[in-house]
Amino acid sequence: MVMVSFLACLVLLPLAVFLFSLIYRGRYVYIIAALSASAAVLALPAVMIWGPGVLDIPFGSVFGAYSLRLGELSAAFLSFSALVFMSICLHRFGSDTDMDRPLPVSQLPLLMLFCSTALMSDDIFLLLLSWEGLSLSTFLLCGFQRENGKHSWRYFAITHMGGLVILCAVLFLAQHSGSFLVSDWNGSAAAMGVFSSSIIMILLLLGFGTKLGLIPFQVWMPGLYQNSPPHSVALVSAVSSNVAVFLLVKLGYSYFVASESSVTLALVIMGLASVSAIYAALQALVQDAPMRVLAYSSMKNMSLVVLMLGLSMLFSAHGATVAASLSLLTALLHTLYHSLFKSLSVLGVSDAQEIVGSEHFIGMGGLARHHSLLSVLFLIGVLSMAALPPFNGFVSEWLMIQSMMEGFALGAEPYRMALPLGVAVLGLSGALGAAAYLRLYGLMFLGRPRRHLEFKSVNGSSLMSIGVLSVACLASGAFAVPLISVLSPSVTAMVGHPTGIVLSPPFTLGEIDPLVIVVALSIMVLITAVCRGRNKNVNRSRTWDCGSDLGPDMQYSAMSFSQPVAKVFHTVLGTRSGIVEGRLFPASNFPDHFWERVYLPLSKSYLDLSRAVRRLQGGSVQSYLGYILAVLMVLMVALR
Amino acid sequence: MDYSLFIISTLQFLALLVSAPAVVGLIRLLKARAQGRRGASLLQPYRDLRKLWRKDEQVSEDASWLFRVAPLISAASVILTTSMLPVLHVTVLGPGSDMILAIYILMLSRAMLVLSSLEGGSVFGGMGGSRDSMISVLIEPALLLSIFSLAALAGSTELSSTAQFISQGGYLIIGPTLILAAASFCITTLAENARLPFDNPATHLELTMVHEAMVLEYSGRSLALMEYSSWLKLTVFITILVNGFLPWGISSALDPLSLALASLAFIFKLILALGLIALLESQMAKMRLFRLPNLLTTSFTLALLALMAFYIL
Repeated sequence: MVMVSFLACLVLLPLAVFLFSLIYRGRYVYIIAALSASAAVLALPAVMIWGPGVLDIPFGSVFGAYSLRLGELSAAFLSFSALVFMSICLHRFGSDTDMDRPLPVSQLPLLMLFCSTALMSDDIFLLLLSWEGLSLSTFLLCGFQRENGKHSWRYFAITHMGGLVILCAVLFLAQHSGSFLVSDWNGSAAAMGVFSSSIIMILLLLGFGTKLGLIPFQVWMPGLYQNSPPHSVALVSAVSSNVAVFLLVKLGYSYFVASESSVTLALVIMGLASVSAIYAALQALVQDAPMRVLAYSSMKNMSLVVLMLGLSMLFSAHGATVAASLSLLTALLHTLYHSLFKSLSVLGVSDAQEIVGSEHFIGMGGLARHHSLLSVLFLIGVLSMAALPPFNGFVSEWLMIQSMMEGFALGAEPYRMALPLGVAVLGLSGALGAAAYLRLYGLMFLGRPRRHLEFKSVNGSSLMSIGVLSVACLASGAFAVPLISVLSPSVTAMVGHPTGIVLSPPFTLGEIDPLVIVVALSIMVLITAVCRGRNKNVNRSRTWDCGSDLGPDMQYSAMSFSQPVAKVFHTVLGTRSGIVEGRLFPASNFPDHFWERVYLPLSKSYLDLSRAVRRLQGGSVQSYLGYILAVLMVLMVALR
Repeated sequence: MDYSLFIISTLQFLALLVSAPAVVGLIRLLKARAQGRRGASLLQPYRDLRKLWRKDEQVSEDASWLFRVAPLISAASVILTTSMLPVLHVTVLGPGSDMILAIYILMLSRAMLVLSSLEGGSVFGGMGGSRDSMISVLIEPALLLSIFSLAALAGSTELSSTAQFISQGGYLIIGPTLILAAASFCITTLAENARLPFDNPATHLELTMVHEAMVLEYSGRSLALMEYSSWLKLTVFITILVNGFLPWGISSALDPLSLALASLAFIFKLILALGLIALLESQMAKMRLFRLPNLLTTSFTLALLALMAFYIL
């Protein structure tokens, strides 16, 4: 009973705030939206105390009554998403001084509502409705009128294409299993046959892949990230990726029972995800604007998540259930962690852009001297993104490597030789990513300011929200073991063998407790600091300049830093050309091969086709009558 | 933890910490002898550290808080990795001996170095950081793969159990997997620690330096910490090499005889490895920067072949 009212509360609160925001349009709406999300933050504790909850709403659609269901997994996703949502609202409250980029305020509570219902919905109509609502409200939040309109429309088109594909897959599943409730689908793939179940899986991956930015759907990401309001970007990259991964796993695993013959599919998924991850990490290293780096970072992380899902399919096709559960768990954990560190980084970059007044690396640098608190908190986000211990990104990356190494469980299958390559993919994309994020931090916060500027201060509530997220990054990593033990029963149940296998460290190959690492590392830092002592003889002096005064531009720039890697991977990246208008430096973005070679030709041929069709529309009645006659003739001949 | 186990693991941890400067001193000495010079004493690195410890510190006007914190975190993470290594006995003091964890903690140290190189806004620092990023991008996959082959062989990513498994596994365990993985790890060790042919630790010529460029702005105690942590990192890598890939002699019992044998074996293997490095460095010139990818790809291929050999044979 408690859970029924709790679920109702989760739906009604955002709805109430939405109605309120239609009347009141001041900036306190952000605070109220944040407060209304606090109920959703408590979803995980609530499920742990009172158990899973089900709420059947008395009215419904033609497909039957709406039904909500909150289990451990959806509660974890809801809690993390709501925490991120709260911080973003709080940050927006603090930084709502510039009115050039107003957010459509009422979209915020609506987005939270769709997020909750998408995560909880059990019937497909509510699920599809909330997914569509989520796409629409993020699109509206990103703004579609001003200079960023082009990128928002790209996002709109690509994700709606994805939504259409998802609709097909879900309706087919519902028709096949004879139920509109996802929880009734268990194992219906067995009756469906390998071929059609693989097709459904591919459709789902394509559909959600548009939102996650898998290759080749990433073309909307860099532009949208760079040109949209940062808070909307944070919501797109954290909250809607969370929902996308969760739905992909929920729909995929609720019917898909992997068999021997799904091995090929799993290997193809893993291969594509690997290419996507490495491409994204490489692109992240050569971008010229912080938000573009973050866009490719999202792409990289989501590709790794899909890589883990593919690995999990591979394992369960082979019956290695423990390994399959471990990889699935890793994928989910990484998604949750990603939402924390990515929103932290996006908000941090937004503050830095606000201070400097520039969206490119060219005007940045030297922020750490004047904004030490912001620089410390942002460093935590960067280190988590770079998967360095003791932060949360490291924990999930360690689990990824461990799941890859579980390949020994596969026995003597020939394809297990692909798994070492998987480890190499993790290593390469991890190192490229780490270099990209360190470069991001160094160019924004360290060194000399590259442009003379008056430093603005950062608002207190913005700093507080970033602080909350950075504590969450540290804590969610440090307490990974309890989190895993809460999630693992439902994850193992999903893989299809709810026989009481519960994952807990130690895994078969290695054992770490992140909490111990946090403690050990802090003790070591403390000891070193005490050893160095309070050195009284620290003098400030000029950087060694070889005899000529160092100007603001006489330091390593964004492009010079990544030049060695760009040279090594020249065949992938291509050559950059052109000059940024009014600037000293050459254009720093490499050509977007996918846009130029895939999307532009596609849209060109589509336009050509429609131009050809237009000739048919002469406008004279005679020709239309002629067409009708011709069609009738053809039909009569063909059908007889 | 057993009382005597605690003592022995603490002792081996401290021994590694104390001997790190001597390890570098020995390489320099052997290198000098191989080149026909007399060379400085084995104790010279200790003297350098003492000298730096007493000096004043200069901090750039452009540098922020990170400049003085980075050496602390960098040194602390290398010291933490040191505590995770089995040296004489297979127990360790630190939080387990998981090699993946060790690699990632060392990456933290490297990340701090790259960040601090961008402090101060010196072109040299940025150049070092940029080149170091390139090298680390190419090292990382090879490093993980060679650890993977070791784990495949011994069934664990923990160095303790790996060492125990291989040293007690008889001579049959010496096969292509172990040899190829060790060869790959050797190349990685040279690259990770900025030794020839990747970087010349003895020069301050801007066209060639990588690691030295990154610490160029440091002085005084911070420089001492930076130098010490790079020496300790070399020691850590050599210890992983000799105790992970050639662990014969390591003790899993606690009697004095086997411990004495273990220390003899460890010192012998250590000196052998250092001698090899010294010989290599006196015979070889530094490679051009953009020829390094070839060598690092070789290391990657070796590790991949090691795994292929494990699966096929």
